[in-house]
Amino acid sequence: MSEPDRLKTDFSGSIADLVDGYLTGRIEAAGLSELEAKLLADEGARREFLRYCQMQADIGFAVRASVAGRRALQTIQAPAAQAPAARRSLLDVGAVAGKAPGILSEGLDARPLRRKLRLIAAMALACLLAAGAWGMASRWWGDRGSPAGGDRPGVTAWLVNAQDCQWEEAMAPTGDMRAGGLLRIKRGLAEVGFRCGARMVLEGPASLEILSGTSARILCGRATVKVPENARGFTVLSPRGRVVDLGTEFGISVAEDGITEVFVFKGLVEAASGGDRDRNPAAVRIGERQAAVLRREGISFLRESEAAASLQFVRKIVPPWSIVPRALRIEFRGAVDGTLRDDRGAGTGFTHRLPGTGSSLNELDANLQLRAAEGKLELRTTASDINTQFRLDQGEYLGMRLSELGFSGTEDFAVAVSIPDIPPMDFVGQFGLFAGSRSDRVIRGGLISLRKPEAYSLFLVNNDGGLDSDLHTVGLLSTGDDLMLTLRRAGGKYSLTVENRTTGRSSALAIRHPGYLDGESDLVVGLFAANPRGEMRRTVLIDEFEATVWTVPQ
Amino acid sequence: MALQVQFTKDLEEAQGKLFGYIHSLVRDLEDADDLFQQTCLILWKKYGEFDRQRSFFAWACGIARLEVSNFLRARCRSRIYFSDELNLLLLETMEKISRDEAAERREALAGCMVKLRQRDRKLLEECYGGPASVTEIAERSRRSPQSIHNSLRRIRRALFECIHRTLAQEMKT
Repeated sequence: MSEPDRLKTDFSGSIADLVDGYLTGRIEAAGLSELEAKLLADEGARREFLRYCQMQADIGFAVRASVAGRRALQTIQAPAAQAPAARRSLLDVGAVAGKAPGILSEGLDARPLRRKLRLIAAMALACLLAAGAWGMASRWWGDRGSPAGGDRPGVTAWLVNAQDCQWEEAMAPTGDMRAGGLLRIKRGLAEVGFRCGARMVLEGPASLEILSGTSARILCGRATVKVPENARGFTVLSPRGRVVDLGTEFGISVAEDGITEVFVFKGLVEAASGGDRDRNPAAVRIGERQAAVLRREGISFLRESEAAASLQFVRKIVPPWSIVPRALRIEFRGAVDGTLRDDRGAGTGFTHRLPGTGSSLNELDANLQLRAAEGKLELRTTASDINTQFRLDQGEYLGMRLSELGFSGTEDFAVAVSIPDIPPMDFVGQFGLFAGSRSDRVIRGGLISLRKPEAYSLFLVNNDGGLDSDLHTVGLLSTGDDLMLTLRRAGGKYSLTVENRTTGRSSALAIRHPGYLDGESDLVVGLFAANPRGEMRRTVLIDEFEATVWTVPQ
Repeated sequence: MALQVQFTKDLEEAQGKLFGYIHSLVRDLEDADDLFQQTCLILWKKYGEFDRQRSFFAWACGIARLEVSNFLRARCRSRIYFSDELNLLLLETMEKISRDEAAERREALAGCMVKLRQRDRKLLEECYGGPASVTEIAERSRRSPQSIHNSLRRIRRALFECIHRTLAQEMKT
């Protein structure tokens, strides 16, 4: 008889039923004794019993590995699905998740600490996958749809979301939670879902004990609870009482001494004071937008002003902003149809002028010349000046509307230009970048020529009403240097950065905030060059222009 | 880093059987899951003390057994679990089952699961990977919980038989 056949004989009949009953928890005490006796007596039976257990585990592995794998793939694929649609002539630099431009955050996964604590388990899972369960799962699931995820039998609650969460040591959820499970968070937010459908957002520092699928105990800390209609009766205990939901959303705050505050956002709750193990505590009903304090000696309602403090509850975990930079880059390597044209009719790539400027310039602008072969644009100065609004009908203030990059008035943005070999100009001759809604509501900055020949200073200046104000000048530059200028609004504040690519130095300037531009949704940004006091026209070369708006997708 | 690499290697070799052993002692897959993770953490913490002359699997099973004992004691439900005497015998038997055999059985199981009828596959999917309890699945499919339990038992038995047949056939060839 072959080995498998012999084992099959050992494991046939009633013992198999007993083993199955044991593994599914449906065995009676008598059956367990019978099974134990058989296993104690026969090594073959023990061997088969262990194999049967192993198979049961392997089935679970196959299914779970498939679910875990599919979730992982969904997570990996999610950012690609969120990428904004490409726009013609617009360069989507990429999606950045974070609270500010340039700051990368945890993004999709807001559960770093939970992940850290499960490192070893994850490692084991990875090994398991490598060892073959993954392959088995793949074969098992084939091309079938993903099974529904979520809780499993015996599980009363589970962590559904977390943000910036730091758990007390050994008090992080290591999986789905059962009755008696304790969560302690030092800081951050954790959202727990209960089997009945109730959701709780816990705000650290806080301690929560899972009592059942329909109840929990807050030992300290703050939480909001949202209970769907079909889960009415969900109960939250505290050291000073209990709150029973009657179809509602409420906040609960438990101080270190156990004193408990309850605020009802919607619906109605029944609150009872006393120790959380009192059987017949005094109960009151708390209605919408009412707040009460539960003490050992009783319940007192809070006045509206006192209740206002209760409105500070975090009711929802809001994911970090997803910031998407959208940019337009012009490299002057060819004519762009439908844009402002140069002296020979070639589209420069710029689409708009600062309102109030350039009205008397020809459609074929004699001050512009595209040198596509070199990737440069020539901009010739005119005798005009934003300050005092001098001859601005001839002023060269070229650019684009930020709204075309998704700007709506609140987003941060940056506009940059690269200027090689800066030319000499007459006194107060200037060139640089601007952002504004019209010629007398604009901030501009760049280089301004000094009395000393062939010397410049950096400047940034406001113009609200036609006259320059808050002028800030700094530094000294020489003609012939290559520069990169960047006018930026970051965190709502404007600044100008000048990077001297010849010397390797850079400077930044900031001035009084141009409040007149706040909330302005139709800003034009661009570059300018002017030689207000000189009839001699100078040429500024531009070899790269870029505008970027950091948008928040809806 | 070298210690971590070595630990990963040892765990990789032992984990399938280790999980099976824990599962045999606590029955419930969820409990086994938790205890397996807990045991892995302890193994890692104590790995520096592990005597390399010994079997990693035997050492891991010893620690797992203590964890399981604590777990059962905390639950005050030892009456529906095996005696410590049997647990030790199971540990001895488990050590005799080779890693290769466990891998072969797992491979055979994969082939057997593919052969299941569609509705049996669906039931396994619901019960092992889905969100619902057997009672909920029964309600949804308008069957009794007992009927679902019977079906699961039949499927498991069929799979177990199928694994035997597959391995027997492989031995012949």
